[in-house]
Amino acid sequence: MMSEYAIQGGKRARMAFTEIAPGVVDRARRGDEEAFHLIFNRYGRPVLSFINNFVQNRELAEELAQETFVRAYRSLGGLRDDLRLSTWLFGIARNVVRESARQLRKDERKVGLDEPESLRLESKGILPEGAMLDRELTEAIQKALLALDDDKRIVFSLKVFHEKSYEEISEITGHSVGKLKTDLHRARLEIRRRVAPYLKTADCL
Amino acid sequence: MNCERCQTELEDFLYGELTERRAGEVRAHLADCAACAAVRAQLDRENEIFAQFYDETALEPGAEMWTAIRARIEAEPVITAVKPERRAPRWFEWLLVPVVLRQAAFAALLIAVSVGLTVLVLKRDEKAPVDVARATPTPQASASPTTDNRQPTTDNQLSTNRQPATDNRQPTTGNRQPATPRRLTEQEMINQQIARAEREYQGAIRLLDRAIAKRRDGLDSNVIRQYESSLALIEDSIAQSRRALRAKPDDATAGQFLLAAYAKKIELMQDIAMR
Repeated sequence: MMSEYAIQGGKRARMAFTEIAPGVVDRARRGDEEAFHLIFNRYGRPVLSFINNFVQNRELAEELAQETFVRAYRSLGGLRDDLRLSTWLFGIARNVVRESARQLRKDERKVGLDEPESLRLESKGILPEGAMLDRELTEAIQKALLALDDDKRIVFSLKVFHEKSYEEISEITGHSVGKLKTDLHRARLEIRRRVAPYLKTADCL
Repeated sequence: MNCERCQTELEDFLYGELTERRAGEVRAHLADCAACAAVRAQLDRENEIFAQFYDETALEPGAEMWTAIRARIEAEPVITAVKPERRAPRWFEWLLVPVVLRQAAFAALLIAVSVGLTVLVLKRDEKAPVDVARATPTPQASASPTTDNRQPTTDNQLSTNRQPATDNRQPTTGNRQPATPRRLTEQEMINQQIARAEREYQGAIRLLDRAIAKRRDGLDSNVIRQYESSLALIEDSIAQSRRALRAKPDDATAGQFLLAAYAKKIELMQDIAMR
């Protein structure tokens, strides 16, 4: 039986978030492009994946991740605590996604934070070769995630996939810890309800 | 601890969000309660599946993504202002902002309105090319013979400047028509707006500078250091843009850079003044 904080995926996610070497942020802040490249190398994947949780369209996700890093570069001077870099990046990514969703709504297109049903348009269950999870299960999780409302999806993604603390998620979203806990619990129940039949089929439980 | 409370706190327990004391209580309950231990095992398994899902579906940024980011950051001036990406302030926070800052913000707003109006005027003029042509002094006008009693060149005169120069003469002691201001060329209008915006910005900067001076002792020394280095970068940008504009007054990009640098300076100062 696993102990708390020994969730395998959690461990992997947490390791990926080991903060970068001291001084790198400061160098990037002074315009050192190589230092900023290190930051991108470390956080590109989680930020891109986080964005993709919302847009489910690789091309759009890359475009928004690109915008996130450009904005981060421009406003690195505003990062008050270098140790909060990843939280800060997620905050920027969240704003970028929201703005994009707003713009897309204006354009009467159907992809956005608050319109998960629309994501079916581009939802592609891309699974690499050698994937361990059953394809149907993966797609069921994707659909369940997309069916969550904005607040629930963001807390679920940050907590379960990116192992952020409530305090950090609160910083990113501006929501109280109480609301975050409630949203996370409800998100889990909703996902469980939608995914349960596939779990049995795949004999995962 | 009963089962209901244990299961309510189970998620927080697994994510290490409980205090040591509370986590100890949950741990003790799990050791004694098979039902809660089963719920915990289910959560563990779910989390394992979610982690696997993330690992298998997370996107890996391609090399071309960094190339695109690098191209974008290289294309713009490096201005690393102390400007955090943060949520919009609540409406009532605005009431707590000192009057001087509201004045500065209002000055900046005026500049934005003024520049916006200019753009509108320019767009309107673009739609009426005849007016622009009329507003542009012709070689004949500038080379017209001079006399002691000539009037300042006006827009109307320029439009009729094909008449002999003597037609424009007025008796020195006669009832002179009030001189109509000469219509500005497009470039002159832009330069005038830039100069005006620059004055507005400088006024706002003076107000903010006074506000910061009052608060300076209460600010963290690291913040002050960062502020000063960002300010130095921005001022360098301003100086460079101004030099470029002076060397080539019709360089619209230099004008835009100059105003953008001023706007950045105001943003930076407002951020510091409101801390």
